[in-house]
This record gives sequence, structure tokens and C-alpha cells, in this order.
Amino acid sequence: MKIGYNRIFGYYIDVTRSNISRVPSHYERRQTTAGGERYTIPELKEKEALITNADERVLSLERELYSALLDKLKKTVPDLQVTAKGIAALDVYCALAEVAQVHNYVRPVLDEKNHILIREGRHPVVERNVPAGFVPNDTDLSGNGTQIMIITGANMAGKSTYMRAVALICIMAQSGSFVPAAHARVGMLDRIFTRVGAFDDLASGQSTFMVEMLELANILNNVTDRSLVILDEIGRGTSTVDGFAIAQAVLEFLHGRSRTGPKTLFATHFHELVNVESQLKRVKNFHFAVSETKSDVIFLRKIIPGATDKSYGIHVARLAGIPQKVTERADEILTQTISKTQTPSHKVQRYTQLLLADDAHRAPDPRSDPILDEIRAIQVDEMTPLQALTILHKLKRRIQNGDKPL
Amino acid sequence: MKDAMAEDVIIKDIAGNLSPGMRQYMSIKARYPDAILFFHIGDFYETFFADAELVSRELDIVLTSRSKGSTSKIPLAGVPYHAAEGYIAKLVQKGYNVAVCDQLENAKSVKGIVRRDVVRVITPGTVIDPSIILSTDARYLMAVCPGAINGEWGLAFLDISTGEFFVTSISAENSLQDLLSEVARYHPAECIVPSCIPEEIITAIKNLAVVVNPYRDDAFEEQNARNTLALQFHVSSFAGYGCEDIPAALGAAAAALRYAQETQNSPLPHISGLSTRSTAQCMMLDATTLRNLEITESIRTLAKGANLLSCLDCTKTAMGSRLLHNRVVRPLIDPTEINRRLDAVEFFVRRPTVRHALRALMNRMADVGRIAGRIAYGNAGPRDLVALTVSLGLIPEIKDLVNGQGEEPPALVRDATFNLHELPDTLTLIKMILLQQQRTDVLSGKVTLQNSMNS
Repeated sequence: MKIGYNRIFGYYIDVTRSNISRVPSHYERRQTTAGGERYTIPELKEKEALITNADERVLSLERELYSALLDKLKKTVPDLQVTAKGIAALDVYCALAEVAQVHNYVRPVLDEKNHILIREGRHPVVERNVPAGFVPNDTDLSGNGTQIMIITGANMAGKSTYMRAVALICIMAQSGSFVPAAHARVGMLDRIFTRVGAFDDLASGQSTFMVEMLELANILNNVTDRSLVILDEIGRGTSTVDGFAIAQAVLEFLHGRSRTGPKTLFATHFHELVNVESQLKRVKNFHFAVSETKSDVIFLRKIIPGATDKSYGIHVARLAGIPQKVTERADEILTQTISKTQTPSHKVQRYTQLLLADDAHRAPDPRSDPILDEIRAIQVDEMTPLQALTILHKLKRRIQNGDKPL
Repeated sequence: MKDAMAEDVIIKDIAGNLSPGMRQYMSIKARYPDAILFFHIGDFYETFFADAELVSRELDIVLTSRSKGSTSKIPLAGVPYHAAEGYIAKLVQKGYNVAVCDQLENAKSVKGIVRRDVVRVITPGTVIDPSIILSTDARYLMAVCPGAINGEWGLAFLDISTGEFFVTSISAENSLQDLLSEVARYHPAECIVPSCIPEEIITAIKNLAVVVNPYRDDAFEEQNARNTLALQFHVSSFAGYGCEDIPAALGAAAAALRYAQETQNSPLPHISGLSTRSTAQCMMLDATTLRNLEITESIRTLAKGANLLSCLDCTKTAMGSRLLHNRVVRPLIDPTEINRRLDAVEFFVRRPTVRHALRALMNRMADVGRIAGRIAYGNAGPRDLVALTVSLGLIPEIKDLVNGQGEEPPALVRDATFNLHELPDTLTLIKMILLQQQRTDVLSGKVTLQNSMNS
């Protein structure tokens, strides 16, 4: 016979079947099992009560002790908070050091001059995702030197990554981290503005262009000489004419009439803007190098001085998987357009504009073309053949000399 | 086990009048109209009426109804009492406030209606429970207080779990833009506002995925604010905190503190000071730029690695992670100060062995900042205390590593190390009381007789 316990009956005396006959009468039967019977007696119940009581007392004692402990510990909270701050700081310095060493960052040089100089700068996030190797680039911006960089060229060539990399390097430098470059000298920036259009606010019911103008307004109203401005293809959300006008006006505003201004990276698809370089002293053109062979186009992702008039838009379309029929036809149209005028970039760009714009016009406005106007004005019935031929000759010459329709 | 408690909340008696239990519910609910009221009955937290419909929908639990003889049914939805935290967490994550109404006395020993009252209100910005805030990021409650005519606006940010508390001010002219920049910078979970804030500002804040709740105007009022803060911090002037001359900042801070105290039903003594962050001391990064440059969040991919912060954040502690986040969204503009930080980083760049050893030690550290918050609030569990002893026990080694370099470490490293308190007496005390036990359910009293039999 032995004493056992389970949760349902508590304590019991376990008696095997063979011994049941010897069980005294005051035993109360509780449970029948395969091997025998289980009983309880008053003394057992007493003991059980004692044990339960003791357990409850133990529990409540434990709780009291614990509460008292917590109360005492409250006094240590200020010290703990200070300790936590200390650990946090050490952790941050070690983490930044680790990243710097693993990814070959360099300590930036800081000053209060209006200058950003980066040699072989890389985009910290993108470089980790490019297994083939990230192409580093230089930057030399200063308020009174190359203040504004106009960057033209294909969309896939690396423009956006480059501009973002410059901004991120400045942020990393000013927050006290090493930077992904071979060398970096950063003059303190008070603000960084970006107008990139990657995430327009369609949900709020405002048109893309309206959002763009709102952001641009914020920039132009708040920019200072110590700011960095990054504009990626402004003027895209409206007609070519308006967009170009706005883009040029913004350029001129940022350049300003004084001898210095905010450092600006200005990526654009309006190829005419490259002409601004000759008009404004602190504006320089740049583009991303492309290697063109008979069969292929390779984006080298290296920024070099000078303008380009090629967007490689159709190439990008092909890469994206646009049906061959469409890209081949586009090639045809492009060749035709180029051969018709001396400034191919303008007409070409108009077509790419039309493909990308939401609510732009469907076709170039035929009414605004002076050549067509002239043709319309011709009174054929009253002409001699010689007169007609002369006019035809004149018109052909006007077209060939690049007489722009606007 | 029969649910003896349920009988005291029979909804209606035979005559169709509300039972005493339901009357108790109604009077409590009247005090918390904007929160979901979790009402403890037996083994469940029950919700009624509109709350029940909402809870049933949001948590995907069954909506039933109760009625006794009358024609109108009262919608009812409940969650198990012992498993409530997870459900509360889900609701709070979705932006709701939850008021938890517990039984204040032992139901077994009471005849009639058990006394009940709300013991805590959990709002998105004031959670302190570790089971609800799963991430290690700072979780801010924000308050906005407009200034007097053309005066500066005050913004306050409070992280209850660690006690971090700071204010900043924005000029009246560009208030909306600057306000949104600060919201984007700190990503508060909840924002409280006085009634005078225009609807368009509230909408703009909501559009940044922040829950906005109104709070009593008198909490923001300057004189009340000064009294509240003076009482909490035991100071008579706020010049030491840098915001003596910004009444709107004091208003915002006091409102945030009171809201937190009310919802947590605790004076929150670990909130013992305030700091002022001037927007002029750092590089301005507006909400658009933070987004466009993918500084803390990537635009297109939801994958974790595609933003600046995740590239830089290989910290080993939650406290370090929060600090790094703070530093990246607030770059400085003073070269001297930045160079001090760079000196600290360079110190560890040049010493890879020390760095690796230090990181290995910090890897074993718990979130001391949050544990301190829980100790102050009174709900630190035995696990927290054990983690604390382990963490504090690492400090002597950390100090040795840093100081044993033969040369004086740079200023910021020296300061940080100096601030590490070993607290040997506290450690001894904790170890003595907790002894060999690792009972994590002491407070809930769930230790069964079975267990105690075995020990």
C-alpha cells in the first residue's frame, strides 16, 4: 500500500486488489483502478490541507519577497538608464567601425566650406546588391565652382543611383559614420532636398504634376546656399513645352545672380537644357558613358563631363521586353525623324516624352508649325510652275537648316 | 469548472431591465467611449455591442449574443483571460485603444456583483508590455501643441518603455511641413492633439500612418504644464532642459506625460527628465527626402535590407539599434561634434580584436533600457531580472577591454564607458532572492501543487 497523488483526487492511499480485504472500515473509497482501489482517511485529508496551505503561503511569501525586491530596484533605475545609454553608444561606434572595415569605407573630412568632394563614391545600399561590382564615381561640387551639374542620358545609365549616392554619403558623414568612397570632403549641409518622383501621392487625389510642383515649391522657397538639391527629371508631368520652360527657369533661379548658390544635381530628359552651360557660369553638363557596338549597347555607369543627345530609350525598351515589332518600328521612326532634322535630340525626345507622359497631347500640334502655315498660305491656283518650284525649294531649305517648328 | 462568475453579469432580468452586472459595464464604458472595453467575466474578457462587432471583425473571433427572454440581442465577443495579451497586441497594432477592466476582488468571496474597474488603457503610443512591442525600435508617443499667435509650436516625443523624453520646436510659418518632417523622422506610433489643431493637419499626420487621438486641452495649457512637469521632475525651472522659453514645448511635454500616466495608471517615475532637440542643430531632412533616399525604409521592396539604416545597423543590442536610428535621421551640422563621433568610430576601426571582443560581450546583453522601464513601472518579471544580472555582470569585462588599450580612448568612448554602472550590491540582492529558481510564473500564481511536490 502506498500514498499517491493526482490532481483530481488529491492524496490517496493506493491498495492493490489482493489486499482489499484487509482495508479497515473507516477508509473511504475514492477511485477504482485496474490494480486496486484508492481510499482516503480523515488524517490524510488533514495532511493534505496542511500541505495546500503551506504551498499557498509559500507562494504568497514568494510574491511578497519579489515585490519588495522590485521596490528596492526602483532606486537603481536612473543608473540603469545611464548605463543603457553608455552601452548604446559603444554599440553604435563598434557597429559603424565594423561596417566601415568590412565594406571599405573611409573617414570623411569635414569643414564648413561650401564644397562636396568625393573620389570614387559608391551607393552604400546598391553596392551590396551588385555582385558584378559597383562602378564608383567622383563628385566635385562647390557653391562658387561647379555649382549645378546637369546630367543627361539614358534612364538606366546610373543617374538616379549616382545622385542618391552623393546625398547618402553626405548624410552618413554628418551623422558621424565613415563613408563608401576612397576620399570624401564634405562641407556642412543644412538641408538636403530631393525631387525624385519615385513615390507620387496618387492616393490623395492630387495629380502627379501637382505633387511635383508642390515639392518643387517647397524646395525653391526654402533652399539656402548651404543646401544640397537633387532634382530628377522635373517637368515630366506636364506638356513638353511647359515642362521645359519650368525646368530652365528653375535652373536659372538656383544659379541666381550672386556668386554662389545651392549645390544641385539636375538630371533631365530635356536635351536642350545642355545649352544652359554656355549661358550660366556655374552650370556644367555631365552624362553617363555608354559603349555602343554594332550589336549592343553597354551602360558603363561612369559619369563624364559633356552632354549627350542620346537617350537609348528604344534600347531600354528592348531590354524591358517590349515586343520586337514595336521596337523595330520605333527604330524606323527614329531613323526617319533623325534624317529629317538637324537636331535629332529634340524630335526624338518629344516622342519619348509622349510615350511617358500621362496626359500629354497625343501628337505634335500640327497647327503650330510655321512651315505648315506657309504651305497653307500658298494659293496654288494663282501660281506659275516656276513660282511653285521656288517656294518648294525654299521650304526644303528651311527644313534642312533646322527651322524648328516652334 | 462551472463559470460561477458569469451569473453576475446576466444581461437582462426577466422583466427586460438591465442586470446590475450590465449596469456596471455601462457605467464603466461611459468613461471610455473611445476605447474597446475588455470586461473580465470568469475565464474571459468580454466585449459588448459595437466593441464586440469590431473585435469579432478585427480578430476573427465568433460574434455571439446574449439575451434572456427579451427580444433584443446584445452582441458579445470574448477572448480567454489568460491569453488576452496577444489579442490586445493585435488590436493596438491596428491603432485601437484597449481599456482593460479587471475584477478588483476575489470573486469567490463576494456575494453579488464583483467590484470591477479599468486597471490600464493600452494605446498604440503607450504600450509598455514586452509581449505587445515586439520590435526593438523606439516607440514614441507624440504630442503637438500650437504656439501663441506666430509663436513656435512645440512637439514632444515620449518612449514609455525606456523613458526617453524630448521636445523640439518648429516655427509657425512653415509649421505643417516641418511638423511632417519631424513625424517622418521619428515615426511615432500615436499622436495626441488639443482641440484647436485644424483638421487638415490631423489628416496629414494620419497619412503618415500615425494614430491621432484628441486629448484634454487643459493638459496643454502652459501653467498646468509647468506644474505637471515641475512635480514630475522635481525642478522649478526648465532652463536646465533647454525649453524654459518655449511654452508650447512644455505644453506638449506635459500633455504627453499625463496621457501616458493616465493610460498606464502609474506615475511613471522613470520618466525623470526632458531634453530639447533643436531642429537647427541638425541637417533638415523632410519626409519626402527621407523616403526618396530610402534612409529608414525602402520604397519598392518590402525586403529588409534595402535601406541605409539596415546597411549600417549591425549593432548587437536593442539600445544601440535605437540610438543608431536616431543618429541617422538627425545628422549634425557641427564639424567638431561630428569629429568626436568619428574619433570614436576610428578608435574601433583600428582595433578589430577589441571590437570583436566587445561585440561578442554586447551580444549577450539584454535590453537594459526597457528592463529599467519595466522595473520602474513595476511589471519586470523574474526573467527580466535574471537578464539584468547577466548584462550587468558583463560590464567589468567591457570596461577592461576599453580601458586596457594602453592609450586613452577618445572622449566619447571614455564618457560612454564611464557611465556603465556595475551595481554590485543590486546584483547580489537579486541573486539572493531569485536563488536557483527560474520560476517565471510567480506573479500569476500558476504554480501547481504538482510542481511544489517535486521541489
